[in-house]
Amino acid sequence: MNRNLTALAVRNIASRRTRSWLTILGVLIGVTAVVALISIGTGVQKAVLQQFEAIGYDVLLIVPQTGWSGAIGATAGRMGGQFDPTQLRVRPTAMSTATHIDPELLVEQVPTLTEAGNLTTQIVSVESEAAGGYLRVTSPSASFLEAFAAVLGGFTVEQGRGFADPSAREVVVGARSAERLEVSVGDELIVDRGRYTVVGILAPAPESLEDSPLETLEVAQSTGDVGDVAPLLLRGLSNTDDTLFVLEEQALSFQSGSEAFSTTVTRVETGASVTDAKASIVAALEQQGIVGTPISVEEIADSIQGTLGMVETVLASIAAVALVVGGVGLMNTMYTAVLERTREIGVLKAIGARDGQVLWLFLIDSGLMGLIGGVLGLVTGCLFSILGTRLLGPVLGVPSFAPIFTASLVLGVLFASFALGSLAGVLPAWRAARQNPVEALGSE
Amino acid sequence: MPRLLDVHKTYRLGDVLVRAVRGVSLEIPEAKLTVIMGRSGSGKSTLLHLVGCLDTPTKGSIEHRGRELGTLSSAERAAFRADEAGFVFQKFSLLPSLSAVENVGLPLLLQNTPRRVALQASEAALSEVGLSHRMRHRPSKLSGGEQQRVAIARALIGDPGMVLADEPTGNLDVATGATILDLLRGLTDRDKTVILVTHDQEIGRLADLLVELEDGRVKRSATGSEEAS
Repeated sequence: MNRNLTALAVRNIASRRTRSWLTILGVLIGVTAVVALISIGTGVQKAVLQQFEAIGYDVLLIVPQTGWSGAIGATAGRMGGQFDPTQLRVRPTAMSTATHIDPELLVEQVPTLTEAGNLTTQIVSVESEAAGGYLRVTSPSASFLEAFAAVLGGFTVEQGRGFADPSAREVVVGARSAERLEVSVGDELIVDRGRYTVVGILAPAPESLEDSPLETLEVAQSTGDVGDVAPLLLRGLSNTDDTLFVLEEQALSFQSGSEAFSTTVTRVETGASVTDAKASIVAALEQQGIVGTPISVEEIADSIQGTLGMVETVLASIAAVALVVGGVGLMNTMYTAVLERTREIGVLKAIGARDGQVLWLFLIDSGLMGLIGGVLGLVTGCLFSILGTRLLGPVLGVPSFAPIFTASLVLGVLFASFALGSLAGVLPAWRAARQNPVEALGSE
Repeated sequence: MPRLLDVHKTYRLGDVLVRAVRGVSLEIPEAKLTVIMGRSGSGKSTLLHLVGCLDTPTKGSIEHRGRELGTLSSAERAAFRADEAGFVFQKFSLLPSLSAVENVGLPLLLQNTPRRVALQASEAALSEVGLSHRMRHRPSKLSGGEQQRVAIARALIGDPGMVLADEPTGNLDVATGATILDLLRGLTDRDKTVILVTHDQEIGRLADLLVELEDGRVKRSATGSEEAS
């Protein structure tokens, strides 16, 4: 390609400065939107994945069904290994020991499981000397806390200690709950009419873990897929700030809990097939008289990734429309330029320019404007996404995360903007190249 | 030398078929000033375009140095214009975004000549037309006469055999026009074949060959000596 033609195209762009900048602005806005949305979307996906990785893809969640709802029993048989939220539609008045999975027995029954633990959530009456009301009480088994604290999205005791004696009436309070109840270590709380001693207060959950993967699942699935029960269950598995913790052994005696959701979390040994383990678990639960469907963390992660990917695609498509609008503006500018420069085209041909050179001149012209719009849009898109996540994240309650600018995004945007510019210039450039030199010279 | 034999050019203007050139046969002498005269619409500019390969004849033959110009492809015609013909137009036709030196160097830049070489040649060409002090100026900062001198320098930079000037003094005052005519007349001393189209009778007196057109036909053709006598 003639470098001189490129230089000439640059001079042409510079000579009609205002119109060039307005045209470039159209592309810039489109590229900014695409870059910001994709980089933020990728950042969200990575943040979610990282949290799932912290839990481990070898972890399975089991939700017992039998005895919780007649509807569940009826549908359980056709669930197979699929995660179906309707299985979570349970409304017991209190946790039933008949549906209580024995985690130690489960590990014995399924040799490929290395550990298991239960976690139950219910809303119960809680009173301190200063305040009272119905609060969420999460009840992990001792084995759960040992092996699966990550599932809770962070369980760091900041004041006092953790649970020491399963037979003692001890409560560990989340940071925000402790503030609301105005309790400190050593105080007493009345939980479900029983007196419990506050033995520990948790550190505030890190901002990035405020909404754990499971909480994110809740958000992702609250669009209608899961129904209204899964969010409650999932909230119980996370967000330690607003929760009180009582060991499962004590919670089994609660009488006034309005809703109780129990899940068993287990881990498959390294190298073992998760699919085989799921089948073995279903059989083992049947031996315990319980129908339950194991869901792997990987399945949940895939489900969320799929949802997030779809949302990202929709948003990127909308942003792409803005980019196309920019391209149409560019084409309009180029058509105007061809009309305005008709005599110039005639002069170029009179001094020996070939049709192909005139074509290239206009293509480079439009391609360069597209590329400049792409480069500037990339910069502003990066700034927008960085500022957006920093400023709006906390305001909107979105987990703090960093946008991700992949090489494919950067190179793709630059190539796409140049290609869009060139494409927008093809027809005007072709028209310019096909100008009859005599007619072009005769134009005013 | 360009040799025209029974050349016709017909084109459509809306619904009207315009017969701009009708059977012109002519031999244009090399390294001489040929002036084509006639009233508006007589076909003189069309004839110039045909000789300069800006247009193709509808019928007839135009031969130049053994080549039949009417059969050349679009790319070959472009190459002919780049190598063999230099155009000067009434409206100067300079690119407004380029300086004088860049405008003059443009034909070389289009031929992939390195920019530095092209601009050096351009500076030399501008010096020849007396514009060494106005090289960096844009056309809008130059007078009409200066712009036409830039156009002449541009026409010469590719060292063509022919210079084709279409009403080169039409937009200039008498004094400036005379300077431009002197410049063009002087090109014949450098073995350039100059073909000049005008409707100005006075310019015809400078011609080595005067061709007068009327309604697309040659009304009269005379050498300079014949005219003088």
